[in-house]
Amino acid sequence: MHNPLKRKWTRSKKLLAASLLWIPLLLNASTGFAKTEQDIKAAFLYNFMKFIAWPYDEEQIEFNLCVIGDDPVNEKLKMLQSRPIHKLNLHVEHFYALNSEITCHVVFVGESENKFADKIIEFYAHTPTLTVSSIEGFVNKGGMVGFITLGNIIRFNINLKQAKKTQLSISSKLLELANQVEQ
Amino acid sequence: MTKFKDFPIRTKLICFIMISTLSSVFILSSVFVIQRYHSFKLQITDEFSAITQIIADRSNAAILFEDQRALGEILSSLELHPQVILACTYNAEATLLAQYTKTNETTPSSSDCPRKPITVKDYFSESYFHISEPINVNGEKSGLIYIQASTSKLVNEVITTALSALSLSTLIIFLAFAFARYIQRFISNPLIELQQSTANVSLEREAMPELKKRNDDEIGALVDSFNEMIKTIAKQNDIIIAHTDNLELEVHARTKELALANRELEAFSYSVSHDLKAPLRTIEGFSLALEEDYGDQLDETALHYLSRVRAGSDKMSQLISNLLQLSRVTRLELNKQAVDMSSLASKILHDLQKDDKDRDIQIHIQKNLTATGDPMLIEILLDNVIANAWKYSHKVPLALIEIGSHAHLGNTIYYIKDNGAGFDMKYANQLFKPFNRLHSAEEFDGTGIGLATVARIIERHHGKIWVNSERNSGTTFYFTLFPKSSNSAEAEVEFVNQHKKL
Repeated sequence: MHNPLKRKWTRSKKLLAASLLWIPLLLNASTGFAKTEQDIKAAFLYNFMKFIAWPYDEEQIEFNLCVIGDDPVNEKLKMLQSRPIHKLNLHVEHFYALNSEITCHVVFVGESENKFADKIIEFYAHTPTLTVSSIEGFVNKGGMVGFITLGNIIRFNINLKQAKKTQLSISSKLLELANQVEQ
Repeated sequence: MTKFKDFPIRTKLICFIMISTLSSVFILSSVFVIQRYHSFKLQITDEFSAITQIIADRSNAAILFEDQRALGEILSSLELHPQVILACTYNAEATLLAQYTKTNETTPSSSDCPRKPITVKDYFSESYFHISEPINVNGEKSGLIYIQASTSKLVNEVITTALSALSLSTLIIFLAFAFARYIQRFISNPLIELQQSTANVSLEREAMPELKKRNDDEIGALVDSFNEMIKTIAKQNDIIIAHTDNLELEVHARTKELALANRELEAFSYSVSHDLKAPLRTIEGFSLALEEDYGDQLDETALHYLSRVRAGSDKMSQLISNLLQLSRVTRLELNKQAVDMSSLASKILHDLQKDDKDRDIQIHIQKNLTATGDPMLIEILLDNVIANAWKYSHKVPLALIEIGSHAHLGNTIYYIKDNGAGFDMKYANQLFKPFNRLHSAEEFDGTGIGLATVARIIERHHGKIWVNSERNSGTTFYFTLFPKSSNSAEAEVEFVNQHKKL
């Protein structure tokens, strides 16, 4: 490799290769195809609702997703606002303290509430409310669905026992897909 | 080559039954196989549509969570279905998420999932069935299941159906053939019997045994009528035979009687003629003696009377000898040999000229004119005919007698032609009867027996004689002797007409 011309060429090729590597990322970003962890989690959360049946309540006009505390997913969850679910429109509610005024169908516990997870779980333990969180060991604490990361794939665990207590019925299809199911 | 319509009834019947059976069996089998094929197709479509729907339904959660492992597991449950060789799951963006390929040694999995899922719901390709089903979650299309199945089962089913239809058809055809063979007995066997009996009836004259009646159908009725007909024929046959026998006997008896009567008549006429001659000779002899011995003592009137007596007895003598000749002609045995007609004719004419030297007459006789027959009878024949010609051409200033022959259709036709008085052809049929004269005795003398004798001679030679004449322009006699063909009547007429023109 003593030929300077050749070396020069090789360098330019490296540059070209590097720039080319960036193209798919750029494309993904611009077209919205790039699925970040948050995107996937938000989608999963929305999909969970499809495979879970809530006890029937005629007066319901909105389906409430309550987000408690801060979490990287929050921004994405807000985008679920007004999405149809179980023939109702999804309404996203965000607060930092436990609120008994709003009937929450789904509660997403942000990572910031790690320390208060037990309290929150306890708060919703007797109402048909699906509790979801990315907090580690959330299912073991009595939460119903907990996101986990296996390598670069996002999976989830389900606490069926807790769900049964609150009259939520989880589709077997969803259970099949769960990484672990607590019974 | 024999035409179908000439085949025996037995073959025709079997053919008809077989043709109708074959065509109906063929049509039924084809319809059956085609119907089975379509129902199998429908069955396959239904079956795989259900399977695909189940798979799609089971996959809807997994597709939402993009769990490719779960999707693969769901697809691999298709392993239980032997026909499925390929199954694919696509997401809503038509990206392949999971694939199931049947791993089998007999059917190497050559195919992979298409990059883009098919757009039609289902279709049959050459040896595969393709079906796709969208994966719906709450009415939202989230993906697509595509299944490809082998149609070898369909092909096998169709082949099995066709084979069973074929074996069933063969059985039916055999049964039909056996049945046809059996049923044709009732129709063709009685007919064959009937036909054979009819053939026997025409061959043998014996009375037919009655035919056995087998069934009470039209053929039975035919057998009945046939038996009835046979009976009638036998009865009529008996009557006819009886009549024939009777008739033969009668004819025989009559012939005998007739022959006896003929012989008696001939003997009678011979003896009468012969016996008449003696008294006639007495009359002749004594009238001659009277004229010679007492001629000078008798006056003129007495002499005239005497000459009348002698002329009368002469005439009678001639008549008697003619009658004797006629009876001899009939009676004498035929002595068949070659006869020289030319010399006979010239001798006769020579004799005639000797008696009548003053006649200026032209005579043509064909040279080497020969015939086969009795020389004596032929001489009498020629004598009579030529004498006729001589006699009736008497009053013609330039008389001509011509004797000759023509060859016609292998026979020789002889003719004797004169240019004499002739006669009206309407009397021609009376010419050859004895004592019939066409001219008065004053005009031409004669006994009227001559041509009857001629006719008898011709008859004895199995020949024919006919005449062509015209008043005041001559007569031609034609005759044949032992002609080769007996049916020459028309030929003669034709011949005469030809020569009339000449």
